[in-house]
Formats: sequence, structure tokens, C-alpha cells
Amino acid sequence: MTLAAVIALLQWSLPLAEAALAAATKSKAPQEFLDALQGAVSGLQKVAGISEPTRAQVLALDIDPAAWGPAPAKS
Amino acid sequence: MPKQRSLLVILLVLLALAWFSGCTPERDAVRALGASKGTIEAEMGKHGECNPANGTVPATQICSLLGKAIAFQHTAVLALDAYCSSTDYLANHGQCLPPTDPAAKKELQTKLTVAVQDLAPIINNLKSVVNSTKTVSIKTVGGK
Repeated sequence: MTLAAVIALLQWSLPLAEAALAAATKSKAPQEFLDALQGAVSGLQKVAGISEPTRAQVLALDIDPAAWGPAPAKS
Repeated sequence: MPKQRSLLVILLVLLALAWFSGCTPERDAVRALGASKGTIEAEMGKHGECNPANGTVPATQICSLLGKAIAFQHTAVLALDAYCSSTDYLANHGQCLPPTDPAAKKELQTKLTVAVQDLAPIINNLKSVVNSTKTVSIKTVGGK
């Protein structure tokens, strides 16, 4: 129960951190500040069990039309 | 007892907020594309006759839908890949990070949303054709 509440709070604060990061990036904040915010967002994502997909995960969703098989050559 | 109940209600509200706030276009797309890939691959396994490598593809509804579904799945994955393509994502296989430029982000997000939305009715049609085929088979077997 307590753990669930903690996770819920972390997940709730994640979009706030993401919004802060987007706003800071837009306003061209100092790089150290952006790095710290990015670190906070990544940390929150890991702890809350939410993470953005990696490229490997995205590409794993693909079904290459060519892999379905080319038409046999006409003789 | 009422205190416990109000605590539970607060917790449920927090969980609901957390659930909805955890949704981003890329996470939604990953969920949708994961489900559609499962459906497509299951049917690819059952309908080898629809594979052009096995000869002339019969002009059936299932083969037509499978071909379309594979093409639309591929398009949607490419749109998601483009949406996520920050330097870290591309070069280091890092996490999906949409462009920081709002105009570029909006354009790529629209393309991603459209691609996923275009795929959905094809998957639904594929499922309904598969289900209707099953019903016909059961009726045929039952009728004998």
C-alpha cells in the first residue's frame, strides 16, 4: 500500500519534471541545469517503472514487408 | 473507517492521475504497435498461402488485409522511429526523445498519430475476418 502510493506520487511528479525540462530547453537554460533536470526525469522514470522506448524496442515492432517474401521470379 | 475510505479514494485518484500522466505519444504508439504486431504475426503463421514467396497469392480478403497490415505496421514503426530520433536515440540506442523544436515535434507527432490511426481499422478488419472464418469453420464442422 505504501509502496504503491510512493510509486503513484513519483509517476505523478514525472510529467511535471518533463514539462520543466521542455520549458527549460525552450528558454535555453544553462546546460548544467538542463543536465540536472534530464537526470531527474530519467531517475523518476526508472524508479516509477516508466521509461521511454529505446531504438531497439521500437525497431523490434517492425515487420519488414520484404521479409514476408518477395514474389518468385517468373520463368 | 470513513477515514480509511477517504484515504483509499485519494489513493485511487492519485493512481488514476499517474496512469493518465504516464501516457505519451511514443508510449501509446509502442502499446498499439506491439498489439498489432502480435495479431499480424499470428495470422502470418496461419496463412502461408498469402506469402508471395510461396507462389501466386490467392485473391482472398485475408491475404489482402495481411499485405496491407504489414505495410501499414512498417510505416507506423518508421514514423515512431522518426519521432524519437534524437542524437542519443540514433547513435547510442538511447531512449526515445522527440525533437525539442515545437514545430518539428508537432509535425512528426501528427505523422505518427495518423500512421497508428490508419493501422487500427486494418487490424480490426483482420480480426473480424479471422473471427468470421472461425465461425464458418465451426458451423461447417457442426453441420456434418
